[in-house]
Amino acid sequence: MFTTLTDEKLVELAVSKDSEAFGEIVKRWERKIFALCFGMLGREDDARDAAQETFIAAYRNLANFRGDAKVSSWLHRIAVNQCLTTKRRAKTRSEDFLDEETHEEDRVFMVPPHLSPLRTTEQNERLFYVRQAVTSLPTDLRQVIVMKEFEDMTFQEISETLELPLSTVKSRVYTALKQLRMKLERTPLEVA
Amino acid sequence: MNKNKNIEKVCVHGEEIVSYLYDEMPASGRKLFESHLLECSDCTDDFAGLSLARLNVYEWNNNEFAAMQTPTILIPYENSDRDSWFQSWFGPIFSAPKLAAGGILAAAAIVFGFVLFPSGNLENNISINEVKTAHPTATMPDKPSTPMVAEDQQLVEVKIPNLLNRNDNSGVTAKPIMVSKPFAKKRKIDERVAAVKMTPKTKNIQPLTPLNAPRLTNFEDEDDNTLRLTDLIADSNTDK
Repeated sequence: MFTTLTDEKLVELAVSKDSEAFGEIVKRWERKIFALCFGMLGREDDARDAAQETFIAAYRNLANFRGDAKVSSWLHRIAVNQCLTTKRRAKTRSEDFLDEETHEEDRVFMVPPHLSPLRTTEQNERLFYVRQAVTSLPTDLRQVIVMKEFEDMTFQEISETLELPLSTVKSRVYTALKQLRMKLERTPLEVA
Repeated sequence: MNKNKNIEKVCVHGEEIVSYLYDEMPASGRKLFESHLLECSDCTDDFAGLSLARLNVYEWNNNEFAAMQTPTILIPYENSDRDSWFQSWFGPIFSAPKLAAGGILAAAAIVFGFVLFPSGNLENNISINEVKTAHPTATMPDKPSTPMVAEDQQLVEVKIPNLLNRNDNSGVTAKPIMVSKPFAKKRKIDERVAAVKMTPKTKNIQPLTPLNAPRLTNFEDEDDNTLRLTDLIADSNTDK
């Protein structure tokens, strides 16, 4: 029923206390918001926490959503805010030596995604498309993305290895990720 | 530098986005970047898109590659058919360090034993001394200086067991050793060598030629009645 509706229409329905409409928004955007949080925080656990906090904050602030803005931009802004809050909190925790206890409390509500058979199937399918997208990249772009992600090299190390300027390496990684994003948006799993 | 059309702010480069994405941006740059993201929805969307792409690659890495076991590398070295006999016999021994060390120690002990007892055993050494005293004519230098003498000494040692059997506990002196003719010749040489060695160094050596002997240059001038070889030849010719 909700799959054909736009994000903005779903938000309108969610504002009128339609929980299923908001559930559809979460379903559409949870992975992307998780990716954004992962990109900002760099840790899977922290990113999951931040993604959950983002959707809770969005649900609480549905009334503040301006109709002229895109839902994606609205959710992204909330996610960025949430990530910055998480980072500040983590910094304070590390200073106060209270990191472990609070983290354990947060993790109680997290469901490991690999327990769901549906998610496993989706993930396998996604990996297939990702593999296709990466292998279809031009050689120079594929080279830097593999060195960065699979060999865990820094930009400086890649620059020295390939004997390329540092800025060239960074721009190649940027272009590679851009092209990957575009390729994956065309797949059935990643509809923007 | 890009200008955001909606907001009059200078947007960040792609290089800065990936630096932030991979946590390779200095702390000061990070703060500026984060504050910019909060104000610029275009950069935030761009960053979100890159993050999603990165997450996909990250998951691909984690699910397919990180879970894989590192394969055992087997290098097909060529079997060498030209192994030396030493390698084939002693290779297994020297491949074990303890065995190799033990072998080296044993070899060293054997060599050390040969150095200490070069003639085999103590009994033989004693018998050599007995033979020397029983045969004064067969005295030889203790340490032969020429190969010939050394060869002679070896022959004497070989015959020692027979001598011991003949003279055991009887107190009778041993009979002279029967030796072959070349061996006797060698023995005579040995005796001469021994005699030379026994001569004191301080003794004045008598010159072979008398001091008053005529010199060859004025031989014809002197009265000499000694028999000459030329005279003998001449006499024999006349006899014929």
